[in-house]
Amino acid sequence: MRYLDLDIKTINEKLKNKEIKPIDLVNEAFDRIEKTNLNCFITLNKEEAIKKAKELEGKEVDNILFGLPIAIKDNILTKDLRTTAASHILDDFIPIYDATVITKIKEKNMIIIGKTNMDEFAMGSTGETSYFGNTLNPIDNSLVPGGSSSGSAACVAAGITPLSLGTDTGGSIRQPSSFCGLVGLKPTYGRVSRYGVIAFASSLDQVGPITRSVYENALLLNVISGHDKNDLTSSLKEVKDYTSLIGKDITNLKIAVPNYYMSEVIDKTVREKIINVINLLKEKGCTVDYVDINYLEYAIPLYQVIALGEASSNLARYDGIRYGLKVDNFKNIDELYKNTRTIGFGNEVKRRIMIGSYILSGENANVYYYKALKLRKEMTDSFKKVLNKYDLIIGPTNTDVAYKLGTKQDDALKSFYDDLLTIPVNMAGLPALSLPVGYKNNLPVGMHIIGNYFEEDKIYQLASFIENTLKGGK
Amino acid sequence: MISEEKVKHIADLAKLNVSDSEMGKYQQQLTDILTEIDKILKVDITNDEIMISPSDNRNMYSEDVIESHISKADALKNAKRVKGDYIVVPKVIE
Repeated sequence: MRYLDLDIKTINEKLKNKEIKPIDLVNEAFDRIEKTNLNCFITLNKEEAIKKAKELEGKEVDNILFGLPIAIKDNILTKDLRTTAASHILDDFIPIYDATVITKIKEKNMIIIGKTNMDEFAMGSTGETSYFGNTLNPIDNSLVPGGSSSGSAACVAAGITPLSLGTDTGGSIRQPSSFCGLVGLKPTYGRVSRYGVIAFASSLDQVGPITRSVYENALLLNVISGHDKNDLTSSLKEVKDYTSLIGKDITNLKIAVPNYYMSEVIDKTVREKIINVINLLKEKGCTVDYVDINYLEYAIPLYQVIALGEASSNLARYDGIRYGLKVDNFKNIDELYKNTRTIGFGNEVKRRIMIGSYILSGENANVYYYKALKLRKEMTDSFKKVLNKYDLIIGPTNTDVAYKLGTKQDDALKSFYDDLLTIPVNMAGLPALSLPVGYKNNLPVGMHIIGNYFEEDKIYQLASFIENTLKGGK
Repeated sequence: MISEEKVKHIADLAKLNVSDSEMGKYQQQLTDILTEIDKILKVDITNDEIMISPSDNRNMYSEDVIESHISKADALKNAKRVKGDYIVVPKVIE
């Protein structure tokens, strides 16, 4: 028997009554990494993980996540453990401090197994833009695992670790969770500290948990949430126990379904799976209404302006001087910058920072960026209006299920369109979760549950009901 | 499609080189994205309010106390050329 295949509660009991030790879990994790070959990891932390597991043998099992192996997306800084953001420009970068989320999971004595593969600088939706090669989907190795948190999703789906951390700027936790049949949450903007997270688009980025079940997702959110004086956008709002509404009656919940999320752009089978759930909720007595949210059809160009503008500014720091790659062929400082960046960044990243630099340059900033900020406000207000009347918003996470590796790699718009339904949530800063609700040709279909600001507990309440009700049937 | 000159200008803004062999690809791909972006210019919005960040934090103050943060040795650890307490860079003044 493999202990890591058990649920976290059971593993915790076995650790408490000394039936197993943390080292058994660590050995199982590395054993499976060797057997699977999914290219989930960029850097393994084997020596340190074994050392930590041995250290924990003398300690009391004082919390439910104690001694559990966890995988960390490689854009989250880990002190003395290489962190690359899957880019050539950072391929020898050794962080000198831990991100706040890492400090928090270390405080709970979780064990970091390694740093997971991802799209370069989290820019992509397939894992294929990684400098370290693409990650395989454990369900079918010919398919993309989704992205950009590709390795974080693949490693949980493959049973290597029960939990992982990802980041989500336009769907990078929810889309791979959906493609790998997992539960993934992007928290409210500001719920989780971004300190020590390699910035892509600072007003959209959030760190969040990827897990096998809703309850286990809430457990990890409990740990990583909270205000941080090192991230001035982190919220002062009190951290709740995000498991507290799980199992509570959902009959009185009012749920909205945006018409756009069920329109012709979404695959028919995917829509059918969502309708199944809607019927289930209606039977249970929930109010479910179709609503309009304005400007959703502009989510992609809006994202291109906001996210790429912020990215071009954030990635200006990679200059070949203070850290990261530095080329030797230059005659002056300008050539040092340009030659380093040209070799150091991959195509997707170059394209995106070029667009970002251009739309923020000179008069363009007024034309494009300012207009985007107005549109962002309008779209957010439209979400707020709906959430004043309803508890939650549901729909599909993605337009379709996982597709073949190598599909439309030269299409500059493809990776954006994969995030059609997830991007608006980042724009508004709302929390949202993806949950598997069925299959299309044996591939998981993800349902999107969007909540009001800081109401992750309510998202988990509904998600857990659906998870339990669908258990047994596909 | 945008011109080669415009691609070169955009690459220059981002501090990147574009080789002759990649020029055609970038002309096409940047045109595709910029065409997509142009869609937001057509949206009619009467409201003048903007949203820069979802965070509603205002003026976060911290106590004026000296704390140690990053040591000099750590700060220089990832630089490729270091001399004493300095990072060596190419000459920038004539």
